[in-house]
Amino acid sequence: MNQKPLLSIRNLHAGTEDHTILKGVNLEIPHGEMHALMGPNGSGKSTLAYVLAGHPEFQVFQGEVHLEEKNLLELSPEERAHLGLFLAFQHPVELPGVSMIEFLRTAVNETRAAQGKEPIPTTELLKQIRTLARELLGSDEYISRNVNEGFSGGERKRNEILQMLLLQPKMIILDETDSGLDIDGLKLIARAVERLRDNQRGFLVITHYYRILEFLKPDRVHLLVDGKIVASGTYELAVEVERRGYEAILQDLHAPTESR
Amino acid sequence: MQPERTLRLIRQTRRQLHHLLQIEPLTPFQAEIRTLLETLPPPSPREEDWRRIPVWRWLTHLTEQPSSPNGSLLSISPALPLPTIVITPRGAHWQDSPHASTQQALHTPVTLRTLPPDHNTLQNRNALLFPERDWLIALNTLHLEHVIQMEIPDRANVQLALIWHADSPQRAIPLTAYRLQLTVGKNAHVAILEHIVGHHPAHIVIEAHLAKDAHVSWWHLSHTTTPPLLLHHLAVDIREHATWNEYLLNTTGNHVLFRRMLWLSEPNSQSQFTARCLSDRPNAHLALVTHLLHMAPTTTSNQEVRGVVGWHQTGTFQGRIFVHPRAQETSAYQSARWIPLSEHATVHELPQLEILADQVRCTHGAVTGFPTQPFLHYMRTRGIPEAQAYLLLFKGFLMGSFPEEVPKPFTALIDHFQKQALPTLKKLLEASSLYANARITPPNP
Ligand SMILES: Nc1ncnc2c1ncn2[C@@H]1O[C@H](COP(=O)(O)OP(=O)(O)O)[C@@H](O)[C@H]1O
Ligand SMILES: [Mg+2]
Repeated sequence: MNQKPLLSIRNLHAGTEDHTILKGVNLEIPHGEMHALMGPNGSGKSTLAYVLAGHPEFQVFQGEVHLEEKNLLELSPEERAHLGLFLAFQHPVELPGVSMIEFLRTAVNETRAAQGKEPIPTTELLKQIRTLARELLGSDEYISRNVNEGFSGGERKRNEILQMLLLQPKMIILDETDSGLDIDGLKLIARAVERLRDNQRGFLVITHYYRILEFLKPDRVHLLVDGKIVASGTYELAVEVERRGYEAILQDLHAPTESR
Repeated sequence: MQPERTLRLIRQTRRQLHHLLQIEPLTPFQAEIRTLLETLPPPSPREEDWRRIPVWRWLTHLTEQPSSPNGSLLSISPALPLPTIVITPRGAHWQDSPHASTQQALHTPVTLRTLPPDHNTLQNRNALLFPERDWLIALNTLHLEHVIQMEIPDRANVQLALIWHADSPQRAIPLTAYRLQLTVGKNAHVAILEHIVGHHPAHIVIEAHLAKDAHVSWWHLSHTTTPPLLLHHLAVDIREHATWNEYLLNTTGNHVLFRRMLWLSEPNSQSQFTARCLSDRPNAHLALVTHLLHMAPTTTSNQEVRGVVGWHQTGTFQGRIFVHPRAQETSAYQSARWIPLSEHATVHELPQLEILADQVRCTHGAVTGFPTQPFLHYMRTRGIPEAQAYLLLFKGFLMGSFPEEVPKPFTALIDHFQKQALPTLKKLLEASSLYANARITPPNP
């Protein structure tokens, strides 16, 4: 048994140089669990994802983040990735002139090299990428394009999932991967995520919609408001958010009797 | 050799070089426009930068270097699947690569001759007649009144490689100059890959004339065997519905000047220019000077220049666009983007627009630098180390997003160019203080 949780965030204060966005976040994700993070727009969900992924725009003022026994905050973004951390971005950027194949091949082989593994032979990797592209994007024509160049919003999200399936990471953060997708896209992505679910992997699914959680049935649900987790609960919390909205729940929380 | 004689020759060469900086206009009207353009004040004193090429230093320095007539484009690609025309100076011997015999026989309807006809000069005249062999023309290259004429007939479909051999066997005359007049017939489709090989300074003047509906795609590829001093002058006259698409891939050179003048002289003529530039020489000056003359209505021009400079290098793009009063509904687009990788590198972007018609779409974009941060972080979160990420990005910047499909026979060469550019790019990045933190690790096998 692993004693340490897969991901543990303790009293995390972070933000930009002149603006504190996260104001003491505490969160633990044990191996094999899927947690959902919900919250109104601007509550700091993406900021948390970026801080975990080591985005240089954000600074950590206080607190600790560990991935198993490793102190994440002292590692570069690529070192975090090599340990198995993966962020599916809310707004994936396009990489001008960088071809999908070269990008994916470099990502896979650099990660494998860091883990002391041999590179995958190019033909085999190509086969894998093709299969995934057909499954997720509907055609392997996409792999001859540049990364996200000319991709629609939905296609970019699916491309994030393609990368997740290819890299097989250990701790996966999905930042609103569900928004902007139609119901078919949603199901496709939910199925892809389900495929990776096992008793070792951890997931942090950021969303402010209930829809995807219906498919994924997370183990825990957390509510982030103004840079703090104000409530945590089971899947029922997500159902309640869906039924009553954030406002009503927040008012309950401010009332003297705290139920959760 | 007597020092006086060497000096005299060098002086003569310099005079000639100076003279060569001028291209003959094609028609009296064009001459008029040309004069008009030439008498405009230069957009900045920088114009002098590329005119003040230290020819003297080059000439004296390079005479010491051994001449190498064997540097061969053919060695780049073992089976270059292209008819190839090699033009060499008189007295130089061109060695076919061992693979040359496997080359495709030359079945092109192209006519090639020199003016004035000179049987001594055309040493390998007979070679022209053997379809199995490539054309080999030897010219006395110091006399530019000697013109090579190439004619491509109407409706022809031609793909070929054109190799200029720039090592003069007469080492006292260390300059090779060629002049080509190219006429492309109506509705002809032409793809030409141009390459210059040698150590001596080279000066190439090309005058092209495209008849109605002709389509030319012209690829200029430089390679480590290309001369470090290269002056390349191009004047193209583009007639009705004809298209001139030009691609310049430059990876080397110390003083490289591409000067191009295009006349969109009849309605619906088009031109496109795509340039990707870098150099492995620490003090290189790469200069692109373009004059686009929109002389007729509904003409289109599009220029996209990208380059990376580091060390003490300089990159210049000077783009003049002239739109004649009667050239209504013209669209002219040019964009130049140089990325300086060191604080000692200099870039000049000098647009000059003179638009005398009123219904014109004209855009000019000049950007220096490159916002790498969002791209870098995205790649790094996928496990790509910073230095690799930089390399991928800059490679993408230089080699990705080509606007047109590469003609099939050229793909091997374009690949070669990319492989060639990569180590240079790596060195540029490694030397860059801006990216001092990024350490380049050897790529995975
Ligand atoms: N780079 C930034 N600079 C300044 N403020 C930012 C930056 N990024 C996000 N913010 C602010 O931080 C807050 C949280 O944003 P974000 O994490 O994107 O919220 P969410 O993902 O929950 O919608 C917002 O008020 C937003 O305006
Ligand atoms: Mg967000």
